[in-house]
Order: sequence, then structure tokens, then C-alpha cells
Amino acid sequence: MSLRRYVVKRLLLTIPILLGVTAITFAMVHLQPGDVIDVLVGFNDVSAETERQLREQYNLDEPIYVQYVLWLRDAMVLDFGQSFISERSVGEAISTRLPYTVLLGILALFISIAIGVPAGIIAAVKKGEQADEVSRVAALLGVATPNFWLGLMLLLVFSVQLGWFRTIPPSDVAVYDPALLKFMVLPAITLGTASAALLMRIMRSSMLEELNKEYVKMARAKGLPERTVITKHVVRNSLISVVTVAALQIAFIVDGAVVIEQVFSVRGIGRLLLGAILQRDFPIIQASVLMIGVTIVFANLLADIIYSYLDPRIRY
Amino acid sequence: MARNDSQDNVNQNRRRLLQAMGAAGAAGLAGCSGLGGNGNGNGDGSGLPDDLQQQLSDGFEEAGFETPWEGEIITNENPERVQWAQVIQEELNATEFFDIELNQFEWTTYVGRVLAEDSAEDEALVCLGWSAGWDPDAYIRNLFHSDQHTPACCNVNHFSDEEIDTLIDEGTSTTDIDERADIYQDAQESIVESSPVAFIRYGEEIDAFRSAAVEGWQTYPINGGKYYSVYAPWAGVHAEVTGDNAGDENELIATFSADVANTDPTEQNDTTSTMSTNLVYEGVMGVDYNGEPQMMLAEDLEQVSETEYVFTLREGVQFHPSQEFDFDGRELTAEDVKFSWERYLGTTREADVGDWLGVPDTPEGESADSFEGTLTVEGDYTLRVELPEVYAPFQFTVGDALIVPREAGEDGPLDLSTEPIGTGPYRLDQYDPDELWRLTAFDDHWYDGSGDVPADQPIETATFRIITESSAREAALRGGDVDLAQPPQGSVSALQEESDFSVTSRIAGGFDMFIYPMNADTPFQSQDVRLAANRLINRPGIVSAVYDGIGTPAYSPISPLAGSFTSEEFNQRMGDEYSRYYGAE
Repeated sequence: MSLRRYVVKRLLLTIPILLGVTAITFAMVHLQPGDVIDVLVGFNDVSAETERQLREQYNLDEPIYVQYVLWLRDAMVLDFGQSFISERSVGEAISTRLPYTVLLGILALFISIAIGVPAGIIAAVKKGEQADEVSRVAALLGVATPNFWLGLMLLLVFSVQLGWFRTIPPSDVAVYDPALLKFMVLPAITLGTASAALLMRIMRSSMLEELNKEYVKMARAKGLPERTVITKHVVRNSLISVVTVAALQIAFIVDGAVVIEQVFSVRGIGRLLLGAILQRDFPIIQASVLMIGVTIVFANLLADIIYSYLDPRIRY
Repeated sequence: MARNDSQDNVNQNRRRLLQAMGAAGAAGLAGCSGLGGNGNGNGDGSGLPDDLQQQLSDGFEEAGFETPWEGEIITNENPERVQWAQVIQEELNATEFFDIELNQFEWTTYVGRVLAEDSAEDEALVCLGWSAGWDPDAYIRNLFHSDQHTPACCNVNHFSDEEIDTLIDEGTSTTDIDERADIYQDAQESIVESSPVAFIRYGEEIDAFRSAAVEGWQTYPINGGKYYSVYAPWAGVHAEVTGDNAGDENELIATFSADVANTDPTEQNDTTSTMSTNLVYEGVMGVDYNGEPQMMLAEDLEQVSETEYVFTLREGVQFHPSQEFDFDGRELTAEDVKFSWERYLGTTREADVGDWLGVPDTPEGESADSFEGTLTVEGDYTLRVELPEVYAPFQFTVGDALIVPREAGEDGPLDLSTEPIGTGPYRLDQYDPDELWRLTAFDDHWYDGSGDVPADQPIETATFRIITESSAREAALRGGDVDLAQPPQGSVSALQEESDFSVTSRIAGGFDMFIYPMNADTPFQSQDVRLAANRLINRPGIVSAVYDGIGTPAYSPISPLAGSFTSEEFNQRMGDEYSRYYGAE
């Protein structure tokens, strides 16, 4: 199967996946204890008539499957409705916040790869030596440190004590503004360290596996410098498993953004989603989860495409 | 009067509970565990003073329960509330009469359970906060009057006492201050005697700011009025920015702990939304920092009789213009005031007007189509208000109903949910959801500089950064990215000791309480058990260990903020009596 056909097939498969994600989210959100009408009226005791009008206004008087179909119908044309709480457009809320989460995610992924891959290579090449031991401890620390705590510590040390970074994002700047990019360094490090630790370990084990293969012995036997053996052959072949994990890490990063955006006051999708969950703001929850689902599905697709670049033998 | 019968009229008061429930912060747990059972239990219950042991035994026998009674304490995830709940859990369990577990719930779920129609049958002990204001009625009616049982309002355990109902009703219909004070004193003593709840602590409002950036800041004790201090000529208060912030922009950067949910005064159901617009909208009157009613948009108030008032409005008061709605602004008239008050009818904020203007009884499921009292416009600047019956707190509450232009009516061009348009000293300049709320000085504000406050707003721009994490707010303050913030309670004493920061605080209008399930099938049906539990709670210890010394132990409902309506002597007596049981000095 050609790559193009494969991509089309994967895109078609995306449809049932997203339908499943949204249907499950819809059901789970509605199964949560607490009534959105209570939140809408500020837990005031309104008349039955007012409550009926509100339910009708937001289609909450329909059976849940009808509500889902109605939501789906509108979502197909990218109409995500209005927030129950603020009465503002959900589409606008998502579109204004998405760039911040994307920026944070890209920087975090960049940091995790920039740290994880070289450190994994060094750990594999220096197996059993001090560098390997250090990387192992660092990886354990990276995975074990809670994002929330790490974020606060970074904020305290680098923003409050040293004054190198702002504690809150600069206002009135574009998403590509250097001031915002600089501010995003600490949240990206917070978010990227756990992924970096995982990538490091995967890279290390993958490298060790490759280093024991015949073609490496062959390359060495024919007198290739060790540097060339490692960089041109071993690393490239080791990257396939790393790419798989890196793609999966995108889900982890999106997930982590919910906490990090809270700590660093970043107005991203994660913060929007958290607020919406606490307020039972269904339209926001649905649209945010859909957006996250789309991101993860496409990240995995991208990983598949990168495979074929890394290993031209791979055909779909 | 219908005020007591209408479900809708209690909505403002449910909000008081929600505001208090939502209050959050962070404090260390250090010292908490040492409080439990202090001096009253040694693991076998024998450490209890004999009279307390006897009281609990009698109570359990009367209610027909074996010991230990297995139950639960429930709370939302407010860190301090969880900690004092743990302290009480330990104190009760140490008596060996109880085997109580503690369960935490996410906010919406928790509120739904606590305010449910059948809340009185719930066997859980409930931890709550209550937010009130300057008038004593706000501390008592909604929690203890028998017509306020959930779901109508906030009488969670459906406490009923005819004598207390009568005192509460007399309290709002008696205008003589001394007489009122006596009534509320009697009501408080009766409530404490019945003990449907244990009062734990009166809270404090706290602001911390950079000493080099802000001058003249005063803390307003009611949370919704937090930012009056920026510029409140009606109260004789204003702040200035200094140092780097002073200059062309004269910008104050402060914080909100949540996003702004709604900017229409009739649809605001959360504290941040109220806070965000309290410099944008104005009422006819306000209550100043000393608890004295002051004129705001009204120039004069004449009380014609016990139920009749005539407001004379200021001339030349201008509404803010709006580019978005192509509204040029115009002068305020009495018609606007009448319109503004009438538009509260049928909204979730109906009580802001309904409390004094009355809402007629309606058949189940229907809304009233007018208030009971009458509003008569007698010229551009004169409005006559006839109440259906005497309402003593009128001057304290009339200003809660905010004034907006008539163009915000159903057929008008203005949508206040999109852009708040009032007469206040500031108007909305920029709102980026979840990021910032920026106000800019309104040049045509009515104040002419005749008082102590300058005629022009010294702070040109007030920017509020939305920072939901209390630790992040503190970091932003310490990092110099904001000038003023509400820090976590655990950090207040540290900030007080640093010369770079100033901290101002006031005792707040509210309290924390522990609600007994007295009408459910529990030992707390017995008054003896409730009174004994009351005595076991080490309130000074909770204030000290959980709240880092911020706040005041509470033994009765009305906060010292309400001045002559509280009795220091009564609180002191109760404190002395209770301290015997938890071993305090």
C-alpha cells in the first residue's frame, strides 16, 4: 500500500475514533453528579418555569442521545455553540486558546527530544559508566517529579528569586512574540522533563539493541569510525521506537498542559477545559476534548509518516 | 410579607453561601494533628471531663444510638476547610462516642448535595462557610429561619424554631437600632442554645501589595467590593500607584482568582464577576469602609415614613459610551433607576431588589410579573419608593441593585453580558478571557472633587490578571509582575514581615460553620450531643494552626463587622466556657 493510500485510510479511520471519543465524553460528562442548571443559575432556587426554559434553551430537555446528535450535527460544520456559563462562542474560546497550548506543546516536545535523545545516546554508548548512572537517576527523577510541584519550584527559583522569567505571561502580545516565547520556557521545561526522561530510557534501550546487531559489527569491522557508526547507522535505526513513544508523548503533554497552564496562568485549552469541567460547561468540554482527540490522532498519523522516512523499507 | 415566602427572594443569600464555600487558599497542616482531642481524650474516652462524658452519654441514650456512631463529615476541596474538618473529626473520634470518616467532594457535586431538597435527611456532618455583610439579618435569616429550608435557601438541616423565626422577622421590621441589637442578641443566644450548627471562625479579608507600587490601599471587608479602594469618592477612599507604575499610564496591576463569568448585574452569580464590575456600575447608595451608608448616585434620601423613601438623584451623571453598541452615553435619570431595579424581577439576582420591594406569592412554577412595592418617577431626578412593609436594612442593601441604562432593555441595543455599561469611575477597556480584565478611567464621572478624594482618578488604568492558583498569585506578587494580590493564607505572616510588601486586612462579613444533621437519623438529634460536640471544637487552635492566626474564633453567628449587633461579652463567655473542655489557657 502506498503512503498516500495509507494516509487516506488512516484519516477515514479517524472518523469512528473521534465519534467514539466524543460519544464517550458526552456520556461521561452527563453522568457526572451535579446539574448544569444549578451552575447556570448560581445554585439559586429558580421557578420550575425558569428551569424549563433554560433546559429548552440548551436542549437539555431532550434525551441524551438526541442531545448528542444535535451537538454532532452542529459540530460537523464547526459550530460548537455557546458556553453555558459565559454565553460566549465556544469556537472563539477554543481558537483564541489553541495557539497557546500548541506553542506550549511544541516547545515541551522539543525540550523532551532535545534532552531525551542525546542523553539516551550517551547513556547507551557509555553503558555502565558514570554518565549512564547519572542519566538513570535523572530519568527516575524526571518521571517521579510531579509536574505541579516542579512548575512551582521553577517559578519560585527562576522567576521570583533570580528574576530571569516573568511569573505570568506578558499581555497584549502575539503568540510568536519573543517575550511570550521566553515566558514559555519554564512551562515547557516543566512539561517536557517527564517525557524527556522516558525518551531517554527508550533511546538507550533501543540503541543498545541496535549496537548488538550484526550490521554494527560489520560497520566497525570495515573500519568506519565509531562516531560514524553511531550517528549514521545506529541512531537512525534506533529512532523508530523513539518516534512511536514521542508521538504517544503528545497525548501525555496535552494531558499535562491542564496542570501546567494552571500553574503558569497560560490561557490555553487545558485551563479552559479544567474550568469547564468544574462548571459542567458541556459545550466547552465537548469541543475541547474533540480538539485534543484530533491532535492526538494526527500526532500518531504523523509518527507513521515519519517511520517511512526513517526506514524506507516500511510500506503500508 | 412575601419576602419571607418567596423562593426567589433567597437567591442572593444562597450566593452568600457559595461565595464562602468557594474561598480557597493553602496553608500548612503543621500543628493540626496536635489539636485533635486536645485535653479531652486519651484513646479510651476517659480523658473527657465528667460532665461532657455524661452529656454525651445522655444524648446518645436520648437519641437511641449505640457508641461509637459511624458517620461521615463532608467538605469541598478548600484546603483550610479540609484541615479543620480533620481536626474536628479527630476531636470527635477521640471521645470514642464517634467513628467518623471524612469525605471530600468536588465543588459542584458538593453544593448539589448540600443544597438538595432532601438535605435534612442526609446523615453527614457538613463543613461550610457563610458570607454576609454589614446587616445582622444576612447572618441569620437564611440559615436558621424555618422558611429557608433547602431548596428554598440555605437552612441545610431544616432547623425550625418558632421563637427564633419571630425574632428574625422582628429584626427586619424594627428600625430602632438599640431595639434591633437586643433582638439579634436574643436570636443569637437562642441559636447557640439550640446549636443546629457549631460556629467555627470569623474570616478576614486580606490584601497584599508591593509597598513601592501602591499607596493608600484599604481593604474592604466584603469580598465583592474588594476593588472599591481603587477609587471610591462616595466612601472617601482612593489609592495611588507609585514608583515604576506611576507615569503616563498610572497602571495598577492586581489579580482575580477566577475568570469573569458574566458582566450583567442581574446575571452575576459569582464573586469575581461582581468584583470585576464594582468600579463600572454604581448603585444609588453604598456602604463605606466604616459600615455607614453613603450616597452614591443619589444626592439625597428622604425617609417619608417607615415604608416610604424619596431619592433625589445627582444631576449630570453620565453613562459610559460604547463603540461596540454605537451608544454615545447620556445622562442618568430616575427612569433608569426604576428600569434597573425592575429588571431584577425574575432573574437569579431578584433578591437584590425583592428583599425590600417584595415579591408577591405566585402559583407553583410561575414567576411574579411585578414587585409588591411601587416605584414612582416624580421628575428626572426624583424617585419615590414605597415598600410593602418595613425593611430595616433598606439603606444597607438598596445599593446592591446596580444602575444601568434603559437601553439595556429587551428591545434595546445594549447587551450588558458582552459589555458592562454603567456610570462608575472606570469603564471596560479590554477583556481577554482567562487572561486579563482591564479598566480605564471614565473622564466624565460625576464626582467633582468636593470631598477628600481628587476629582480625577489617580489610577488611569486598572488591570486585573486572572491567576487561579493562589501560589502563582503569590509568585506574581513577589516577582513584581502584579502590584496587589490576595495571597495564600499561609503566606500572609511571611509577607507581613518583609518590607517590600504591605498587608492590609479587615475582619470579614462571614463565618465558617459545622452543620449537625439534627433532623436525620443520627445522634445529633439530641441537643445534648450537639452541645457536647460544640464544646469539643478547639476554635482558637483551628484559627492558629489551620489559618495561621488569621481570623477570630466564632461562637455565635453575627460577625464583629456588624458592630453593635454583636456581643463581645457573649463571645468571650462562650469562649471561656468552651476552652475548659479542650484544655486551652
